[in-house]
Amino acid sequence: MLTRPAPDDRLPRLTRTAVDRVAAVAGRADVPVLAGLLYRSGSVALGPRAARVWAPTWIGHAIARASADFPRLATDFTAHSSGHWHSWNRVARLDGQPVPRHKVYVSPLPEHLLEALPTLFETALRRGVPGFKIGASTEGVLRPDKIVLYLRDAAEADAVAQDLADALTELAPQGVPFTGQVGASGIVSRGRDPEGTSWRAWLIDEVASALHAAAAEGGDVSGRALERLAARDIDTATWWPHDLAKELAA
Amino acid sequence: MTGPTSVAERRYVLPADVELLAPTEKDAEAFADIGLRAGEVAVLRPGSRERPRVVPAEAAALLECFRRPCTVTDAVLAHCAQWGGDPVSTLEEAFPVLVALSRAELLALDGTGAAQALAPRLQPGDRVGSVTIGEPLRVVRDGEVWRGRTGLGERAAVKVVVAGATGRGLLAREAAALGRLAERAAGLAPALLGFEPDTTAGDDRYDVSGTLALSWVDGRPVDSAAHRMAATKALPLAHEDEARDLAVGVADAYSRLHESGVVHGDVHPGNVLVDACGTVTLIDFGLARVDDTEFADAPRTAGGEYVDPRTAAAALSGGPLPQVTPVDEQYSVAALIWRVLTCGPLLELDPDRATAMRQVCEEQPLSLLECGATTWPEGERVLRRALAKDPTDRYPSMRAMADALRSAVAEARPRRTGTRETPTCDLSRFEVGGPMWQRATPALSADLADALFDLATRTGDTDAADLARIWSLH
Repeated sequence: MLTRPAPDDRLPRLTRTAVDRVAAVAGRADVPVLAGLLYRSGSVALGPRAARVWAPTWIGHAIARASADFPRLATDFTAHSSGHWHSWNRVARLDGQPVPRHKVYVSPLPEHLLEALPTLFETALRRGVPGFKIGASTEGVLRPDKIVLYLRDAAEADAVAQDLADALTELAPQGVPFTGQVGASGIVSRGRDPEGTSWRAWLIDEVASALHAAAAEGGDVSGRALERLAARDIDTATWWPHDLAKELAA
Repeated sequence: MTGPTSVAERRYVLPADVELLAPTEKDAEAFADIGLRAGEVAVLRPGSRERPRVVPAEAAALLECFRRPCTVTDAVLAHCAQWGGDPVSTLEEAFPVLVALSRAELLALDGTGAAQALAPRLQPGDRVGSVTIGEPLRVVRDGEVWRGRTGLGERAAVKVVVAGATGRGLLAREAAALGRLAERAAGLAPALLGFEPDTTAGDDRYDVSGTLALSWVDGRPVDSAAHRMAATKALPLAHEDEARDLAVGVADAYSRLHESGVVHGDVHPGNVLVDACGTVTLIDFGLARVDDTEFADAPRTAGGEYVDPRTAAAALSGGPLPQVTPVDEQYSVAALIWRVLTCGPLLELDPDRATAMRQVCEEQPLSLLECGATTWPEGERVLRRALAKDPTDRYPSMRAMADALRSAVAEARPRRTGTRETPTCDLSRFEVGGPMWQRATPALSADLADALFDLATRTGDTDAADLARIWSLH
């Protein structure tokens, strides 16, 4: 059973800081720009050093090296690489099963990515995770949501998230804002994709719209925006998906 | 041409420029990074477009027997005499390896062009048209590129292409396209300084098909230019301003091309060069269609992220590929612009070609935001129309698309300039809502944003990066 994060835990704090900061410029920009700022919050900046250190070729080698110790990855999953992501999807797909929309994010700092991979692969194999992906580009490694696992139901996702959070306590977290923290450090978190979009894209668009509307009214912009979001049943304390947040509250 | 017809009679040779590379204990780790392990040998040929092949050390020892031309049987017998082993089982084990190497021309039939070591076809001091050859830039088996100078001292490039299946047509077609562009779109492509078709080329595929001298183009491939912007700009928003301008520059270049009666037919980042001022130059017109000439139709290829859905559908059906039209090319240019904006591909294509072609026909791209760019609804609308699967849903011309894209840039044009400084302050002083935030002028805000971003790129501090983005809008 997952525990409800406290407001001063890493991810609620990072998320609230991002909301407060973007609120300060909400009157000067339109919703897409605000959404872009929120979406990028928590990313490591791309500069010459990062481009050199985390070149896509290095990322490819790192993944190849780590996955070599898990031969079942090659038999149980089909792997696919592109400019944005390295992805693995289960070979066996059963018709009629729900689309995996429950997400588990794993967010080590870029320098700890290599150390996190064995735990990721081991957990994905042991827990029968339907699919997962890892950022394949420099930008993909610098973003907070650099590793995403996809699960078919909430219970599976919770179990996988808790396993990963327990196993990765030693690694420094980067942390994915606007996702529900699992475990103490903030290196693992949860989301759930609404129909046709992704969890963070949807939630961030809601937050940006609320900030933009609140800015037009003046006063405490982030406070008003959070009230608007709460009125739409968004849990602005934990940023967990709605029904999961209710379970946590109960 | 007559010669031995059975494999047993054919004499093979390991060309003199083929290298056999085995990892030593000292550099084993470095080789492991490229997938080469102890007991394996890489067979490679500098200048070949074929990738290196990895073979077992035993097979590499057998290859050494081909340093002098000999039949496979002779090589196996010599190998077994030196190292021991049963010739029949050695032949059975080695045969697939030898076949693979001969297909890659790493092991060649004696007396053919492939058996000859790679040697430049031109020499410094040779002349092509008004250009005197300088030093080589690239020498590969099917072509060369050299630096040169015109009689007036201007820099030039000289291309040599060998006569392959389309080699001869490539240069003549390119010369026709460049001639057309010199008349109707000066500056859009390199100037043609000389073209010498080789009329003596015979059946051998290594004969030269022609030599083309072109004015020199300063610039880097457009994807590299976009990546460089993203990597070196102090602020992401500044990068996106430039990337959007570059996107318009690319669309404008193709508008001028189509208005000149030329369709490129080979859209990819390496053929779109960008100089330090952001000027776009198109190169490589070997697959171009040139209206009202003998080159109005062109050979086609289909593959990669820039192939349009109509061509992909034809490739999937196994039928002949259609002639590329300006509206087809609009899709390819939009896919290229997508890469400029996101530093990534339009679609995450499967390595399997048929699956990839199906994706091109059916799959819709993610949003710009999901691909790592700042959301830009106006620009995304333009690109999605240009990327419509049905060509009739796209803009009627490349010019119409370029104009729409330019309007989209103007609508979203943000603000801000600034200079970079190395920060030495505690970040809490820069928090929004604090005294500094209240008092900062736009110029100071821009400087602070740059300084914070500089700090963020040096340290990896995500908080500094977030604050930099916010200050850039203050």
